[in-house]
Amino acid sequence: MIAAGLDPIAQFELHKLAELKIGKYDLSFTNSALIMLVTVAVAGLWLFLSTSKRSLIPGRAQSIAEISYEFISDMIRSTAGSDGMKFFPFVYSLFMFILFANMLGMVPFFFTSTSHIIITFVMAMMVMAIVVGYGLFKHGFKFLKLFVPSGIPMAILPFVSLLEVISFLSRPISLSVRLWANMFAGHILLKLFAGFAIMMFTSAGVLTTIGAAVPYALVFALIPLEFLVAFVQAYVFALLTCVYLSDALHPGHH
Amino acid sequence: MTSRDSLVRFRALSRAIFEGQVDDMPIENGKSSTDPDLKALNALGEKLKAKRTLEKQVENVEGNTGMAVGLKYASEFSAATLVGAALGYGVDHLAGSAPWGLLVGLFLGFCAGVMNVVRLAKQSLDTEDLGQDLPHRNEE
Repeated sequence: MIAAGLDPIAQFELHKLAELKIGKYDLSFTNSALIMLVTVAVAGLWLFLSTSKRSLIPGRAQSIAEISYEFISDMIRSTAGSDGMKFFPFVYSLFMFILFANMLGMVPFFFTSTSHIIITFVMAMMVMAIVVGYGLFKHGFKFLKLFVPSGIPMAILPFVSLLEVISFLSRPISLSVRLWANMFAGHILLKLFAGFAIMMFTSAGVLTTIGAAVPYALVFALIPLEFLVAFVQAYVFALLTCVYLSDALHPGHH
Repeated sequence: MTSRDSLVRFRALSRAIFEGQVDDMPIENGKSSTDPDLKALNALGEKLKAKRTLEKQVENVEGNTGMAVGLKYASEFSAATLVGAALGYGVDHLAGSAPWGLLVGLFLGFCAGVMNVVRLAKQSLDTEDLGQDLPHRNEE
């Protein structure tokens, strides 16, 4: 029996903060939308304030902002090549949004917007739309070379191409599921162990009260891990975006 | 130094900084390659290259938490299987060939999933640190 307030799933529930209905669509402003607005505001304000001085010798805040720029630009150059830099604004804002959303999710009582698959899926579809759109616009039919690996015997080429198409279509799903599942599972784990600690501590027996130290220690160990996961998953999402964009830029080079 | 000369230098320097590669500067006006500036530039390029490869190696430790690795393979495999099955189901829906489309689609999706997993595993093997005496496999 889970005590009220300790339900590990309750933290992912959406609450309507302001009702809004257009036609049959429910466009209400929810806690998820609020936290996404906060994410954008915090990320934007941080970058704006830290770079507003524009000093030649950067201070601490400006250094961090510059490091974040270099981090993403190096990532793009090493995976998609120098011509991938035209996608820098996209990849950078994607990375910053996910990073700040994940980090804000670690604040107690805050909602984690990336723990809803629709959010991560929309971002993955955005990446795919850019890959397909830019690839077809830039290379036309040559973009389809992406599905025809070189060095395959003619006899099994159609079969392999079909597999490549399915593999390509599965990319947005695996991309979004990876981020979502990590955030979702991590937050459930945290809540579960914290809930155990509280339930054991408040229970009648002496042994269980002392034993509450075990789940408490686990929570203690999990929190830094979750911060690492929050960063790594933002990084992985941006890195895979770069890898996919590189396919749009140079189809046929695997 | 003429303005053209300095332009060439600037370009080489910016290449060294932004792309980590040092190309031999065109030797003009009988200048030999023992030019101290060129040497300094080469040293800078080497340093940058060393830093870049170090960064690349650091990148490879990404996401080595057990859950992240598990989810990586699981999502790659299940996503392809689901897409294959969905495609087959769609074909069934259009052509009325149930259940054959779903079966074939599931099979193809399974194959694509295995391909995804193998590709991913190969990738992580390639980027693993293989030790210093072995050549890096994904070097071109």
